[in-house]
Amino acid sequence: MLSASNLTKQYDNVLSVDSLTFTIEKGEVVGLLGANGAGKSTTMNMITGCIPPSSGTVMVFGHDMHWDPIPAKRHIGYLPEIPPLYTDMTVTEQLLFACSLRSVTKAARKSEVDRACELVNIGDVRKRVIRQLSKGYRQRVGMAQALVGSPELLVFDEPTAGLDPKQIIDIRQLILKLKERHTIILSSHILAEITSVCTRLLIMKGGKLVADSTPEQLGNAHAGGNQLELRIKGGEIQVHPLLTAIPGVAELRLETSPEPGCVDVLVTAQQGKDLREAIFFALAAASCPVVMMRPAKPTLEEIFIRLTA
Amino acid sequence: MSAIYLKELRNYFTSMIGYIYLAIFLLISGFIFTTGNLLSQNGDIKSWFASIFSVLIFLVPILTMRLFSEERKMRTLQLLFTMPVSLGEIVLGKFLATLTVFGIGLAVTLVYPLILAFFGSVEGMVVVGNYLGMTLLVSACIAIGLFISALTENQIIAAVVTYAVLLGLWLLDTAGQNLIKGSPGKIVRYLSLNTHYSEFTYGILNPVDLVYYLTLTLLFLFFGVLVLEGRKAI
Repeated sequence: MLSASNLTKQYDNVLSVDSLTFTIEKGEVVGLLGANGAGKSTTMNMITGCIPPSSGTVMVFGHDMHWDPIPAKRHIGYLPEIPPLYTDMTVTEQLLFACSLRSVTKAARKSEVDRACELVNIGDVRKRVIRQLSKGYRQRVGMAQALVGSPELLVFDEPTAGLDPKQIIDIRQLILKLKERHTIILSSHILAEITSVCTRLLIMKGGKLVADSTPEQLGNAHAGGNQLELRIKGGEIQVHPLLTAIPGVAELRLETSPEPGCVDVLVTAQQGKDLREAIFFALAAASCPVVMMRPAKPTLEEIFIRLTA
Repeated sequence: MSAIYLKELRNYFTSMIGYIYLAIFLLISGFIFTTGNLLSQNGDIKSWFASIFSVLIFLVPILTMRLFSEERKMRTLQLLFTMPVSLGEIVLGKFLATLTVFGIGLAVTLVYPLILAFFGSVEGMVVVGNYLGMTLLVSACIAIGLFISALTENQIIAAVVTYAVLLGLWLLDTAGQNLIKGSPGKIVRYLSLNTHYSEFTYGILNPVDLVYYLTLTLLFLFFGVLVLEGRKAI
């Protein structure tokens, strides 16, 4: 559906986006993650044709965004970080204008506007001038504007920025509903927002793509390392000194286990040390059964920090 | 393009700029016609056309100053850049909307030659020539104003610079006649808006003048597209 090949954007001597290559298939919900300044918005502006790349190509449904932009843009609905709205128009006028730009037939425009307003729940402000709307409502009008004409590919840049918690939940549920019929790319620097809806993550750092996989694959790829998760039958007072005494243990974190009579422990080993056997024998000697031992899976936040730090 | 055209046209009359322009234009043009023709018992419509242009080079920047300046300031150009419309369609839509507003005002003034015809005789070709020349002249002015509006976010700067450029292009005729002698003077005069307007006022449809205004219009519309293309790259 969309493929970006060696996408680069240079401003003076600064590489804002550096040789980005990825493909988005139909039906995917892709999260574009990165710290502020990583190049997410620039990437989105390039794939939607808002700004031209310094080099590289963007193909949308087989159309080159630079050389054949009109048919390419027909397939995309874009919500930028700041929704581009004419503040002296009413919500209905704004959406009708968007319909006309998308060549929606006159007969279908009213129903299209009704549909979009219902999806994002802005029916109660349709007749209000956009200048009078709050940031949250403007964000939703921007989203409705991206939805009119039913483009197959939706690109949302920080869609929940500035919204209150209830509105954020509403937007998440809307995205889950939209993914049934659209392919979606959304960017954020808030992990919880991305992981709750996305099937695939693209993580950017300094303009480069540092990860491209599903959340599960990302977790598995970064699992292991020098941390072990243990579940031990015994009390904290009993287990703590046993583990502290093992050479090579850098850090311990104990907490009460949901399993009765057990304690959960996160053991961090010193670099290059494999403590599994030492832990096993130390606890066995003290008659403390190890009911579970496995490499620790870092949280997505930890992976994100590791990749983007 | 029709979406952009209709939106701009609607905007002229929801933002009051269209009404203000028409009110000022018709007030001044009516005043000039009344004093210059009716009260002076002057049946020559050419004198009205000669006077009205100095009003138009002041009023046209009012129409054109917000065309792109406002879009840049409100960041709504981003919407147009990501919709399936070409830069040419955007520029042409805005240009035609502005020309329509001018055309509405000009259409009202058709009553003046009718009044003169009622009291005396009016040469049809002179009237046609003047209206055609005026339309071509203002088309070029609108294209210039649109280009300048694309260069800045500040509407006041756009208006003032447009006025200065139009005035400069009008005065090239005088400069070429009195300040620059010989062939360079002739070239400078040839570039003047005024030089190519004169024959229209006599009802003469000179293809050279037609080509001059059309070329100027298309050139600055093209420049406007180039500026937008450059804005996208920034």
